[in-house]
Amino acid sequence: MSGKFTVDEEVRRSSKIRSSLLVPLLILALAICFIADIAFGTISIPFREVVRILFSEKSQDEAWLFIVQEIRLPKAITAVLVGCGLSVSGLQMQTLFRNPLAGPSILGITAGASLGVALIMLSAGTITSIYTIKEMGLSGSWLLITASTVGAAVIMLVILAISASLRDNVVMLIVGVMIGNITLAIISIWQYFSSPEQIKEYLLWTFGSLGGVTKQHLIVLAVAVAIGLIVSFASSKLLDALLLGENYARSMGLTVNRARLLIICSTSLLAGSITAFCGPIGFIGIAVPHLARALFNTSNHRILIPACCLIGVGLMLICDIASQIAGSQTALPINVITSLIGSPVVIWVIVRNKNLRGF
Amino acid sequence: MGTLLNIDGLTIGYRNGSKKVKVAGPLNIAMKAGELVCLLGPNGAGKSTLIRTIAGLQDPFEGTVKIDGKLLSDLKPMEIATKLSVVLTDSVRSSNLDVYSLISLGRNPYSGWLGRLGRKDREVIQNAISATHLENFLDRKMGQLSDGESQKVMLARALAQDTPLIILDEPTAHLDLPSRIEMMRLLHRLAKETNKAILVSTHELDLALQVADKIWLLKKDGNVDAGLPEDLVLNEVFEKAFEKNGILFDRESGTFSIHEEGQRSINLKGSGAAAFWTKRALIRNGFVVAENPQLPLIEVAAHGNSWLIRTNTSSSECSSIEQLIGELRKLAL
Repeated sequence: MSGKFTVDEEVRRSSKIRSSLLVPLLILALAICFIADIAFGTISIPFREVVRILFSEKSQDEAWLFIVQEIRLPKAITAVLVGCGLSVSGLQMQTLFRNPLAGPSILGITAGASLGVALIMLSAGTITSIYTIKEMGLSGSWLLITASTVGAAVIMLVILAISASLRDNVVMLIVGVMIGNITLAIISIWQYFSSPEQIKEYLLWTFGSLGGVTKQHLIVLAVAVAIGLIVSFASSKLLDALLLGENYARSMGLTVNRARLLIICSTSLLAGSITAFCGPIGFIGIAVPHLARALFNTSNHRILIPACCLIGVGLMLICDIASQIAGSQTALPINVITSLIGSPVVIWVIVRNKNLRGF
Repeated sequence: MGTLLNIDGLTIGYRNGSKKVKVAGPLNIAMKAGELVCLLGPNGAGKSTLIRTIAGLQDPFEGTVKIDGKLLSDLKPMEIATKLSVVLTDSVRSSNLDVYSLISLGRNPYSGWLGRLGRKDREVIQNAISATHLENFLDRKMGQLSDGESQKVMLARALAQDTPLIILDEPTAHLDLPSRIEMMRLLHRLAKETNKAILVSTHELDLALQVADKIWLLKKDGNVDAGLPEDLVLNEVFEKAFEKNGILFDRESGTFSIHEEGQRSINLKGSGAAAFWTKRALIRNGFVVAENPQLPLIEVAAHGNSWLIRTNTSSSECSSIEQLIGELRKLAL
């Protein structure tokens, strides 16, 4: 009996030491990134003043106070929500499809969400431009979230139905990309017949922006993302079982269809709500789960989901900072930066695995 | 000792669109605890379909499967997961899982709602690891394992699920010969030591004949012959089931002979390994070994390094089987 638990304990110890060092380091890095994100911007505000506004809510300059409290703080919080939500939805999709390149932007899920948004923004006349939706306040933003989430869920169900008969990952990926293309084509046709003002609104939205979320909408987005994250975390045991594929999951007592529905719902809610407010933001969803697996060396979703949140938030904040410094006076669209940072990660994944199978 | 698994009037098959295609049945078979049953049959006879149906992964067309006296169709998925565990042919090599994490997934039906493992869970996992001798592999990723090792990990996962019945679908496919033997021996030992019922579908006829307590032979016509391996051999069941041109089941050795019946007859005298391998060489070269004093005779020396060919007219000595065969060719026998 004496040596019986040594191996087990050793395994647990090594991973414990790793995460016990990693987590505080990551959180510290996040705090620094968060404050840096607020400190940098198109209008330069002294760093000390930024810290003072954040902690005492007072400033010598009313404009600075307004900029930090009403623009930069909501934007940084949006970056946090986007980082968590997209990473976790990507992680869930990679496990569900058993595909290392699954992610909201790749498999056309964000395209589906875009379709939902286009439906609201480009339909019926002038009443429904995104500006007027925002003027409608809370009910309008929920409408946008619902349309976007339903759009994402529909595309995800279609892809899942096709994946049931296609076992090949590469073929699956191509099908996902094609469905994304079809969705975008439908949107293009729609744009063609819409008025220039509406198209401009929509195009600006597709660039992706963290800045478009006002304090009021932030609450709506935060609630949607929080629900999505809680449901995801609660399904971590289901996700673990699905790692071996559906047959094994079923043999371990999982009601696969119910689990799949739950995962699709939370994934669509996360990707859909974020896409509704911030536009289609690429590559965070696919890249972060790989970084989390490599950094925490585990496939346990109980650890991976919080890990994805930490890394996703960090990456999103860094992307946001980069988008402002690079353009100095005018900020670059966030989508450009996430692609620049995310694409190399995807290439690294493919090169490391030598093929598309390993995840 | 009562039966653990009861299969009554079971008809199995698959659905092609809305069409039902019957593969086998009606089957009536049973299995006891502590028994290792090998499911044999030619390709397409429905081995995998039967395995999947018993495992509850697929619905039967008719009939019932009972485990521990309870109907499989009445049990909830979670209850089934505590009655039977499976090793399937589905690939798990692509996953990033390490061996320990994969084995501990077997505790999924028992662990807390977030999948947290308790003390009892860890103990069961440890036992599964030591039963399969995987202690030195725990930190490896599944992608780094050989086929044999990865099958052992999947078996360990099934053991960790701690069920009275374990079902394995062709666990020895893709394995090299030593791994196949090791896997079958491991299953045999597990059945005896843990009193679990183990059902294995396999193509390894000779291994199955050696380790199985019982054999279920699923035939092309959709019926099953169940019984002790020895009884099935003596009743000529095997010969009929695998009947194909040019392939003969040798009842004496329990193996298939892959050579066509020879045209030339020869008499062989001798014993031990040398005589056995001489016979094999003769058969491969188209001879039928028969005991008939009229025929040319080969005498194998007891120590096994000299062979004597006697015909009515001549006699010659050879020092290897290669030389012997060459000599026979020269004599044009």
